[in-house]
Amino acid sequence: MRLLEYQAKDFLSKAGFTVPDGFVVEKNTVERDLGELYCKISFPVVAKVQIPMGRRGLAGGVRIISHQDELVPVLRDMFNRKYYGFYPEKMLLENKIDYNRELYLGVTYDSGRRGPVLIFSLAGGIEVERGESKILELTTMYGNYPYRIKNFFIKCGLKGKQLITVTELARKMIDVFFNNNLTLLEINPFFETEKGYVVGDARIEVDDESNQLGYENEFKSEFEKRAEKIDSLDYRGTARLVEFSGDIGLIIGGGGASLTIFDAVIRYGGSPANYCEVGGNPTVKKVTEITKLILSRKVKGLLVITNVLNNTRVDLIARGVIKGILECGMDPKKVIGIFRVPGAWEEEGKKILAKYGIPFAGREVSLDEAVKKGLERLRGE
Amino acid sequence: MLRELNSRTKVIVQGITGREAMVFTKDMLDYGTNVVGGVTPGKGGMKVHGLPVYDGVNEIDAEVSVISVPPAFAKDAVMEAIEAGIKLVVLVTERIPRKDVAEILEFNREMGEETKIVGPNSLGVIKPERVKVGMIGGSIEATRKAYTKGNVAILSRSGGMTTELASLLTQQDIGQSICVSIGGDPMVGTTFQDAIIELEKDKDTKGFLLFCEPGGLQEELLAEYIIERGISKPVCAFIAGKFVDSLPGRRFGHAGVIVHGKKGSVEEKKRLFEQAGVIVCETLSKIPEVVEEF
Repeated sequence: MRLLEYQAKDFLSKAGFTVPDGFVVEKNTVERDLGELYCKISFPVVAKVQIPMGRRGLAGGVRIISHQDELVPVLRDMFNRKYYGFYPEKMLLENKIDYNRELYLGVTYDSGRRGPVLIFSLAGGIEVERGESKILELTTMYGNYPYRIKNFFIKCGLKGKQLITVTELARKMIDVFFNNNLTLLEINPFFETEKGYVVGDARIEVDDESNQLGYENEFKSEFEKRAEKIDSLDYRGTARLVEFSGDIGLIIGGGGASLTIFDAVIRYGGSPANYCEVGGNPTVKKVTEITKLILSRKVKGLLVITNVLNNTRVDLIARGVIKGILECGMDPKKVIGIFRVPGAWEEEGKKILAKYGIPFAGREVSLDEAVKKGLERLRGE
Repeated sequence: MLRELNSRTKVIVQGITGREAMVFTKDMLDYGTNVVGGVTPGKGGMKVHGLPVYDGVNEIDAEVSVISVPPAFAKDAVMEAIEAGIKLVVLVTERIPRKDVAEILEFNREMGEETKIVGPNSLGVIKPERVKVGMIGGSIEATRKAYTKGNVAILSRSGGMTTELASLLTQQDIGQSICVSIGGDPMVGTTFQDAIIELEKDKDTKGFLLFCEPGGLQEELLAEYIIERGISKPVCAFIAGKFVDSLPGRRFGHAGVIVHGKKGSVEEKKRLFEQAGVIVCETLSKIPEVVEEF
């Protein structure tokens, strides 16, 4: 999960890093909070939309407000815009920082090197994007070897007080990264000021498998929250869903196949209502509930497509999907564009489908063809 | 060790008493894999499908270990296997914390990298009609239906798609020499590049079919390797998840599937692959005609 900037700064501040004085305003309480705001903030102030995306400045999501009178109109305007598909719910207001230099410091796992790395640039994030930054390969034990980090910075050209301070900051970042199961900790820009180093912006991603930070994902839709609840009904099987704005409901799986099928839906002119990943032998109940969830939105119909299954039972998927459709008061024959789920208990699955007049497509129909056929059927071709 | 793997290779299962492990151990035995026993600490002396269960890996002589233990115990289990001198670890467990994976790979490097690790989040490895290790293929009937013996090596970041692709080829009477589910995690023990370097020398393999996904830099690194060093066998690739390119920073499917700007995007992978002479198929249906020429 990716933290929003204000969450990341709250976290880093607690971890001992210096962050600018700031104040979070919410969309619906801007006017109410004005009094408190004027006390805490001095102009000029920087307003930044809180969305889970980078490059907010390019999209107009970062603005400098130089006078008190401009504050409310500018905030209103910013709240009413969409940035990279997101409407901001919160805005971070910060005092403008005077700085001499912008550094970049990051810790992450490198899939190519197959291990953690420290990334550094004296020229800020631009150099990192161009691939000109300096990289130190770390181990999970690296926090114990400050001298190695220091020697890296010597090679990067740092000297004197800057060398000592940046080494200490990097060591602290490495500790924070490992101790909190982060997968990305990026401070960019890291302002070098007269009084020391200040976090300009920070991007933090925490491992979904061991997240103990306690920050909430504020950009999950109602649909996705309901999907998560269904997935946690029981431990058997997984069902992950993401909302999209189209009209073709998808019950698809597993991981790689879902990506393949989703691409194919777009290729053949369909517009998906959701991304989906079912697998690991889910219970009938789980499949029923996700079917109902997808049908709760306005969709033309459903495509039920998976790769050749290794251990998931076809009949359980068939039973779950049909039960879900029936519970919505719909006709399975009309709703299902195609049912292409080859694998174990295939014969049982076929029998269930036949009862409702739904043809079964097996492995002889490729994933592409299945999508094409399903879309044609839903369009009434 | 991928190359040497055969039906005489001694295989053990760490976590053999688990629900899933018991099922795939039976499937492996049915397929002809030489499973010699299993390990579950505290359950030494038990039997599973007639096989002895031990408390520790060093109590039994084996070359390959399939590890299927809960995520929290995976790091310890893999390190134990490495220290016991296991040559090939197939790590089936999914959802292992990234830091644990880093520690596993670090430990393996410190120990001289004598152990090859496939996974985490791998469905397994199969040499059709000879041997399979892990869950790959499922029951013997299902495995026989999807996988047939031949000369194409399938390497896939997705477990499910390993079987789908094998089945796609089998339908067209194109067999496979070996199929490796390399795992869907951002960091894996054996990358496309590692597997290709080893299997380039495999006499049964005439060419490679790769299933790729957005995120990570495995495809990019492989392309660079081929451009620099060349390759003696043809490579065909399918890259899924084109739509993810327009949704940077969001995770789909496997934990590895996140695009950061251009980094890890399908477009970039495709561009580099084409530069390296890898044949990139736009649709799955196109694959059989390409690999038939191998």
